[in-house]
Amino acid sequence: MSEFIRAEDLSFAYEEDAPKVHPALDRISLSVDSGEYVAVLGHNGSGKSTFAKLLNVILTPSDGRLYVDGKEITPDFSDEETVFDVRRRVGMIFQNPDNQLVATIVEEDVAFGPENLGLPREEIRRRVDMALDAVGMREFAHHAPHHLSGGQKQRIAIAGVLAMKPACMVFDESTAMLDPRGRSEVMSAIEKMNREENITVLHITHYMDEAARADRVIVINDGKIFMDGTPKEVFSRVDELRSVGLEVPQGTELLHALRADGFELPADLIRPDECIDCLAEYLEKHSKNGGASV
Amino acid sequence: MNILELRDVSYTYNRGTPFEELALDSVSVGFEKGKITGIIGHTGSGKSTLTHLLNGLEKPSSGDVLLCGESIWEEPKKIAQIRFRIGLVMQYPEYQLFDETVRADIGFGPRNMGLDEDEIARRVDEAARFAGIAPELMDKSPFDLSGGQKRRAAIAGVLAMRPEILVLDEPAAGLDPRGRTEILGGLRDYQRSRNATILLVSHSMEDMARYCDNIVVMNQGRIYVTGTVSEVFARSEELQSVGLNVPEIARIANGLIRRGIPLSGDLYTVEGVRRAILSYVKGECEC
Repeated sequence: MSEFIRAEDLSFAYEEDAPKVHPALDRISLSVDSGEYVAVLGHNGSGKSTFAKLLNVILTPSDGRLYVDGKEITPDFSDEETVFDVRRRVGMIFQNPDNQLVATIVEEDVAFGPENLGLPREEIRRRVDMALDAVGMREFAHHAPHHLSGGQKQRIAIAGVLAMKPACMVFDESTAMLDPRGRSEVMSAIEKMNREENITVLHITHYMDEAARADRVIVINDGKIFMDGTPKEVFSRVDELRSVGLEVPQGTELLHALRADGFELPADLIRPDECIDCLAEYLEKHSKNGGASV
Repeated sequence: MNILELRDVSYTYNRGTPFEELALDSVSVGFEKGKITGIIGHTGSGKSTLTHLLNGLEKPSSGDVLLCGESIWEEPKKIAQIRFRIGLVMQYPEYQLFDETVRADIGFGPRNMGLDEDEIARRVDEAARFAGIAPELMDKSPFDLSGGQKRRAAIAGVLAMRPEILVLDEPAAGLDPRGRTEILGGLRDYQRSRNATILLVSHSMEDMARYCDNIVVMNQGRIYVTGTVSEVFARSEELQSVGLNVPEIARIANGLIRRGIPLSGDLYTVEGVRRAILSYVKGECEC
């Protein structure tokens, strides 16, 4: 697999931060391959969004090196054409869908990006249909976006980015404002793009159950990388995560609590179904033996 | 006892225009005094409209809102008094901060109530404590605070009026887990120490299970179901049919029950399920 993002000793300081002890991002190094599905966790103000904004050249590094899709983003990265290039390769979806919709008809909104690329009419048509299909919103093509639900609006915003054919998509707490169904719709759309289009996904979230579904979880704390591993590796470190203000999925938390009660249960189960299987088996075994050993 | 009650309330936006939209459709529901009631429902189900009606920000198109059995619209000129008793914290209240210091901003409400300066100072400090605002932040500009701190300052501004009833629309949206726990825990402390009534709108089923006594479920402008947390979360399939869910831990508990492990009690929080499993194992031992 080829490398899509590479950060070497990457730092970023907002100007007003100058007198503070540590910058928003403090010499982080990491690499993300093309097609990876990465969740990014961290408390408010940990530096997650700053990292996301660097990938899309909304910000440029203060120090260190950052490569996106083989191009180095330098502190004075201002050549309009290259900025435009990187932004076309890395799409961003923010928290509030209402701030990202520009047109009064769904398909016009999705066409906004490709129109700006100066593509021929037929190609725009093709991309809009493809993007709306990908997020399951084709039947709403002629609707007004403001009459849709939050999850539907967010999927329109995703389609707008998809129509630009990005290589990578960054979701900055894109599920935070949605109801449970909206969240699950958006999560399915994200995972489908990653699986079927091989789009690299960075999903910044405060929902641990969402992070548990990624291939890899990066935890950022005070501008540094605090943990980086598979969801199982990261979420089995319950006490360390709590020490930086984070949580684990509820199933993992339950097993953690029961281990403290003396149950011999594994630490690395994170999905609800695997927690059920493991607990059911354990409890059946112990009830047959008359509950010995607990 | 119901301290606050909606009786057959309907509300239509843009009445008499082509954009007319019925947001609430003959809603009747009561809120128990001294309890925390959660209001859940899909986007557009009418939750926010409901919160605006509860403290007289909007007037029902038909029907009535009763506070302690009396219509809040009995004397429309006195609606300001009602709003001191029923505090409303809207979504993203941090956008409403305006004053020069955090202290002055929190004091704005009590000052409008015509209280003397000593009482205002007392209430401001108390509200800041419940909202978890560190003393050293009090003389800063609210615009120099972080997002989470701004949210707390805005909530404190409503707490400082010492409302008997507090209505909050997604007070923890967008906050990290620790921020959520601190804000919701602080609200629960306020509710307990003043025997206040809290109405909490949220999309987080986990938070609902953890902090609420009762739950009201809304769907398409109507009340779908009401009950205690256990009564409502026991109806997992119905909740899913209206775009909602139960907490992840409840799905795990249900899975265990389906596998033949008889669990009972509070099966909607991690601590509750842990206790249920412990008592199941203990019961097995004694057999």
